[in-house]
Amino acid sequence: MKTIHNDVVLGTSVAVFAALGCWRAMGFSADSRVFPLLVLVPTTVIGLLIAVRGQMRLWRERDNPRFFVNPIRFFQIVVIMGLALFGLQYLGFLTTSAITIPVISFLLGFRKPLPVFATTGLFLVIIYIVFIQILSRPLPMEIWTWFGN
Amino acid sequence: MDLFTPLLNAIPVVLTFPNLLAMVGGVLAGIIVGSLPGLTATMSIAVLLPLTFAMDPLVALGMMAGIYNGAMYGGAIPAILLRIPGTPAAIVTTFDGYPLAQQGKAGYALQVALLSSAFGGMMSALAMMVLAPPLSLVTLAFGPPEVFWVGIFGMAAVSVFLGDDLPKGTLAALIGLFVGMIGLDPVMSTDRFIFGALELESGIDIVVLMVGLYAIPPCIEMAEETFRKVKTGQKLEFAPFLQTLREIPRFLKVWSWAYFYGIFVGLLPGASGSFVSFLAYERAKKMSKDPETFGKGNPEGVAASEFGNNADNAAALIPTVTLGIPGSSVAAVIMGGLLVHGLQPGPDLFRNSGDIIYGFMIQMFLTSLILIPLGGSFATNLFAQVLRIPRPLLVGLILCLSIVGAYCVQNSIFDVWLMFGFGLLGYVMSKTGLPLAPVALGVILGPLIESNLRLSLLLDVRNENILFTRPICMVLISLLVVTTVFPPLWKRFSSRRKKQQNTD
Repeated sequence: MKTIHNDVVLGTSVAVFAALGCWRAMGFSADSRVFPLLVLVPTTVIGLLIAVRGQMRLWRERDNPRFFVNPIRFFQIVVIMGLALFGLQYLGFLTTSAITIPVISFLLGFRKPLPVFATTGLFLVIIYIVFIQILSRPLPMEIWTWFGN
Repeated sequence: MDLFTPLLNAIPVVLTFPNLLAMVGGVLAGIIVGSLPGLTATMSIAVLLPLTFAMDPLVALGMMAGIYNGAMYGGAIPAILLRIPGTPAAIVTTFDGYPLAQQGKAGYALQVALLSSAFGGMMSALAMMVLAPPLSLVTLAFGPPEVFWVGIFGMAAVSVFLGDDLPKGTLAALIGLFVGMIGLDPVMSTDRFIFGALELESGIDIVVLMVGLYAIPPCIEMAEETFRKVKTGQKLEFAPFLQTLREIPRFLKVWSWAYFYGIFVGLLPGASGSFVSFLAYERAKKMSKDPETFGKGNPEGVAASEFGNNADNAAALIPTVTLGIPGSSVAAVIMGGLLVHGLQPGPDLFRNSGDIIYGFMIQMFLTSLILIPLGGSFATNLFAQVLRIPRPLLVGLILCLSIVGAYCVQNSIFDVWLMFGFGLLGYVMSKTGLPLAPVALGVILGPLIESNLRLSLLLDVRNENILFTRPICMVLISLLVVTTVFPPLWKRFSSRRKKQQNTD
């Protein structure tokens, strides 16, 4: 059994960040600090209230809902999302998507190459036609266009 | 005021080819997304909003109206076939829809859901046409103190009505107000909470926030739950559509109550479609001659639920277009869409952009109407196959679509990182029971509340406490007290009474 209730972590983190925000807001000019303080002071109080209530629930009812359904999957998907965003800057959007979609699919257990690559290809074609050809939105430059230059 | 002339003027603008195409495309996209459990109308509009940037505002709104109405019906497909509500508003549909499917009447249940959704949406659009224009004129009497209280009322109502937990609802609203504060101060232009990032000076874009909050958490949750297999792909047996049409008189009484709840609850910020469908379902059960059949496959249960959650569709947009207070999370995204296209909600919207706003109301009506042919037997059978898309593949597709959506707002990779950050925030919030809609509302209303508060204080040169003494302010404060104090008290009272009954 976990010894810390989700609400304790949530409430305490919110209260700490809100208190730091109050401290930062004190450095703003007189007019600019009014609204931030009106928001952040109650945030600190409610954060603490939620934390205390969570701890009391844990003591009284032993009630502590599970946070992650599957922590390994969570971290896998977050790392891939992070890598995809990092890759976006260097590889371009289409290349990154062409790698990310099959990688996620294979990692999460769907490993039939034909549907995976066909869907990825179709997705890229749609994005290319809609965003680049029709809407003329400049997507992050593809790595292969750099080689061309 | 003359209601019909601007409506008649807007009809030719709406009935152009690009508009009709956008509405049909929107309805189809909405049904597909709505039929995928975990993906909501809010998420689909947020993700597809960047597609509309280059479009004419009315075409963009037509697409959003189509997605909205389509998704609300689409949610009924997995609710009936698999007992998994496609959208939160379809939870009540599972009560009788799934038992009907188990009795081999899935096609019939889907037809009832389709007709109820379509008529609910059309009636809601009519209510919007009648109520929104006069309400927008009332707002002409509003000065900064009144607008401040309207903003506070919207935030408070959302915090109270969304979620079961008042402190958590309030915390979510405060988080939203904080996020809305990031960037330049609206009066003095001092930078606040930007931590040296110049990209944050113009504040957090609502589209980036919405894509992050609504698209990323379902992706992560789907990835976590991919080991749970979903039964899919059954062939549906449909009764002749005319036969179901002939049953409409049987549902009229149920629909009338669902309509009443849909409009009045829809007008309250924060009270969502799922709440309306629950009220309508309970009323239908009470009125029925055989209430014991509810929950075992009574089509009136499906009719009440689906009519109710669609009757709320356009009604929830009334406070959005008149006061700039979104009534629900979908309304908040649609308001984001209005702002992206340079349309500021309020009386000026009706005066200066009459064609667009009246056109939008007609689009809300038409997209509900075209649900009937588009969601018919063949199409519904086809949409039911959408449930076959493997979850692992869907996760990657949504993730990449979210990236392109966030990037296209300002062609900035910084926005994509922000979207990712908001996605993680949304995941933590959904895991800890914090509702998401107050955050979106806080970001929209925060700057409005702050600037009007400061303007009110500047106007109050004679220290007359104009924030509290003006008549409309006093009415709004009373409403605020009634809506925020009574519901939690009533909830506590009724749960105590239930406990007492159980112990007796």
